[in-house]
Amino acid sequence: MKQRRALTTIVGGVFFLIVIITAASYLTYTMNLFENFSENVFAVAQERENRKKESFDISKLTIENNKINLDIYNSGDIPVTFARLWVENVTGVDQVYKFDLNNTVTTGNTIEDILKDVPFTALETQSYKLKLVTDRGTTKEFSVNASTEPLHLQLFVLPEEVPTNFISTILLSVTNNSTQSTIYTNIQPVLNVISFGALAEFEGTTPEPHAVLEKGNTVIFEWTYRISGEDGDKVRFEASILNGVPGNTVTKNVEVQKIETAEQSTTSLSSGILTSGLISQNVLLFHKEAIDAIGERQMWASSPENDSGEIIDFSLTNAVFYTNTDNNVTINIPAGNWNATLRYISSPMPESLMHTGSNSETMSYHFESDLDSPIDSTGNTIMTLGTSPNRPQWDGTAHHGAGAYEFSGNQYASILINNNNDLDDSPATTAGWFYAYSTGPASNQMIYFGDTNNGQKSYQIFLNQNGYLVFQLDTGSTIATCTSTVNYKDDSWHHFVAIMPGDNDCDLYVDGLLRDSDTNGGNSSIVLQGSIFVGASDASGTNGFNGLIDDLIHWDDYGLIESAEQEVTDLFNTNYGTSSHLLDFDLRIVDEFGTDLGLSNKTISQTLSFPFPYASDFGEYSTPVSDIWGQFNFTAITTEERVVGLGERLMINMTYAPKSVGNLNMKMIIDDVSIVSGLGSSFLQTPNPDRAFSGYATYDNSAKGEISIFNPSPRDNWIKYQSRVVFEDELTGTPYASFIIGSGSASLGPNQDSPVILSGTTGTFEFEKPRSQPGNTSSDLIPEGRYRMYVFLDGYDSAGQIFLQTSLVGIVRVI
Amino acid sequence: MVKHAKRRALATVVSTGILLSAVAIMGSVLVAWSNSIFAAEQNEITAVYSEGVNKLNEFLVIEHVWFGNETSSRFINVTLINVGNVGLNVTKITLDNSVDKTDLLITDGGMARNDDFSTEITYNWTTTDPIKITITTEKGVLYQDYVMGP
Repeated sequence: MKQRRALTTIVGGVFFLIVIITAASYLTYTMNLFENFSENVFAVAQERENRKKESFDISKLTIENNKINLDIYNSGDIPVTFARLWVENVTGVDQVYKFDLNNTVTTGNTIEDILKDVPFTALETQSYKLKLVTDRGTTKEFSVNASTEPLHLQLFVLPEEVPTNFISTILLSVTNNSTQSTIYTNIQPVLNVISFGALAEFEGTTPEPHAVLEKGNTVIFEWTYRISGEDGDKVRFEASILNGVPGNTVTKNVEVQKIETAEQSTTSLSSGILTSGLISQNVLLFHKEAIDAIGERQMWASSPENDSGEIIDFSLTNAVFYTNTDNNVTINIPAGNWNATLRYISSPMPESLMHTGSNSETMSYHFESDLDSPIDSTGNTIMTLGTSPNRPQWDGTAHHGAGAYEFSGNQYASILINNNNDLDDSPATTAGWFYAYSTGPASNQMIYFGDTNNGQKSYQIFLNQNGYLVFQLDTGSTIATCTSTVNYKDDSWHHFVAIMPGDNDCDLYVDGLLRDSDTNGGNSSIVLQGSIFVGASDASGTNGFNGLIDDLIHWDDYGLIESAEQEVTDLFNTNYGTSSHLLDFDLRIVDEFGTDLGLSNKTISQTLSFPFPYASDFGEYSTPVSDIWGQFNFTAITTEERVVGLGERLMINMTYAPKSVGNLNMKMIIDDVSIVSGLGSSFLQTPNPDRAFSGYATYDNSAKGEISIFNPSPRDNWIKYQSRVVFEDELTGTPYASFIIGSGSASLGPNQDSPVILSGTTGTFEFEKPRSQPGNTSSDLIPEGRYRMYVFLDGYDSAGQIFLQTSLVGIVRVI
Repeated sequence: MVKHAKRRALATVVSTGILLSAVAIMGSVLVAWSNSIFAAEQNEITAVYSEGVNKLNEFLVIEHVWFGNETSSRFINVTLINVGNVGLNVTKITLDNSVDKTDLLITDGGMARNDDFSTEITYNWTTTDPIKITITTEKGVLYQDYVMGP
């Protein structure tokens, strides 16, 4: 029994041993796997760590001898091997090249001309986007000779006002605010100089292109110009980047400003100053004040007083201005030109279409100037013209005497789609003018085209092969088609209004007449995506239009109403060209009460319905700012002398002449010191008279005088003792002067400057009785009479910069 | 007595045989069972390990994306590079700009180490909507990037 047990034990033990060995083998295998896994994890972690350590910077990138010369500095902690280079010619979206590289640069070193063996011809006139790829998969993208997205540009001119023949420094700051982490290289600034009377002579050296602009970094380019000209002349600097995104520009003006006196005239006037420059005695500015102007407004040779001015809405009132009366003075005005210069804005829509909220237009292009990115005056959308040879040509007098774009079969403009032009659902309206050449092709010619991303739904206005105008809505399931069965390939302008009254319905008006309707019902709406194309159906110029297009206006949530409101007719009759508005001008000499003297030799002009061109309408969409105001002159010519007799006034009366249809309103700005563009605020200029027109200021020499000083500069100002008022006898030139002595309870003296005149505010100051020697009370007091009154200001601003300014107040009567 | 002793000896042999047989059978069953268990576990661990290690070593980079604007239609060209330590197989590329989503199934996306793969996908891209590109490999690893039309 013992033997059997022993034998069984041995056999069992063998089996147990087998099991134990198997288990041990499994355990060992598992352990090896875990060890292997750990090694893999470690290796992968190491590689990822190496990728993080990989870093390189572009130290030079230029195009020389048709080769890209690229130097790269290894700024990381590990050698870098470059495996691949991508080159994209950004002037042609499909031109992409890939090159294999095998260049290694060790830590802290620079590899030069890494692309010298790459078989790629680069042109200095073209721009490229490049991407380097390392063997670890690190990529870095950069752009040469161009910016592929708008960069943050700032332009500074120091100072903005200079005496003639002084220097102004122009600084262009370029910040790489790329949203795509692109590095820009070989940044080349472009500075255009546009003269508005002043001459700018370049001095110094032209700034060199900047080699590399990393994301977030800023580079500043500097130019120096010597500015010369007459007082008030300007020069405009317009800066951009070579091959930059169209419209990515900044502008600044430098104005020549006369300095009459003072030893500091050898230094530049860099401070914002008080009041504006001198006014000629024959320039009568329109003022908003009505005092002594027999219930209307003043007109005299005096600077605007503040930066708010007044906007005169011609649809509500006419504009009448009078000079002051003087019983002691006769003014002789020789024969010559009388110019009324008006600063105004046009209403964007005829009266019937001046809607608000969602019923107002959401996109409006009038092509009044030639821009790569034409301006939508609603500010809602962005249009971009195709690049040459797909860029339409601008014609400045093509339609109603104003601008339009000519398309020659393969040109186009694209408009980015957003909520203001995507249709979405009915109603909607698109209107515009077209001029189709009779020589155009016998195939579809697209005027306006939009579709969805997958192209299943579309919205299009085109001429078909017969020259018929077609408005088509394709919702994918329903097609609404309106066709005007008239051949418009007739070398004439035609107006279309395409209305989508329902999601699947269309109405088409041409030249104010309903030509076709198609009503299907249903609610299968179209939501346009991508871009709308004008003049073709895509960026390749497919179905290109042959002719001109103008005044494209879109309402995304409104269908024009013709039956009750005659909105289509009104729009058809609206002139967005040289005869947008009609004004009656009555310019004559009247008695002191404004009564017409009924004499032909007292009449300068009585002109009816003088046409005014369409001006910027931006002011209707946003708060008007100084540079949006259009400018146009009314001119009358007298062939004989005109005399403003004793006690008489000069009067100008401007009355709006409304049209029966297509009546665009206009608004004029007066008396605003912030209107600095063009010729400044609105005024009447007469032939040069022998004596100045009477002003509206009077000074009583039995008491101290008072003047108001407005500070239009962005900085606070103070004036110093020695600032004075000067009265110059109109006939003899004999001067009388007095110091400005204080403001309210605050006095001004040799050791005490004036109280602060805050930016944008007016301070009231007192001056002593003017005498032949200012400050000397025993010298002669100013006698009664007519004087030219000047204010000489000596002061400084909150930046510590000085100003010296002499301003003409105008003709002042001393009583 | 002798007869009795012979019966006892026979019984001993028989019982010994039975006992040995029983032990042998039990031992064989135990060995077979343990082998099968360990082998199954080993296979499973090997599979999990391989999967994990391959995923760990898989590293794909979306090297370059460029936009085509041909007459017929717009497209996007996507180039990928395998910078990992193992080969991989790209099975799907998805483009999504929140308006239009396109899945492209890839049948020839095998990429050895350091290989690149390039494909052109018809897609109506816009210049305003960012496009999310998602690459899916056979092992289910996802790689994503955002691009914007020019």
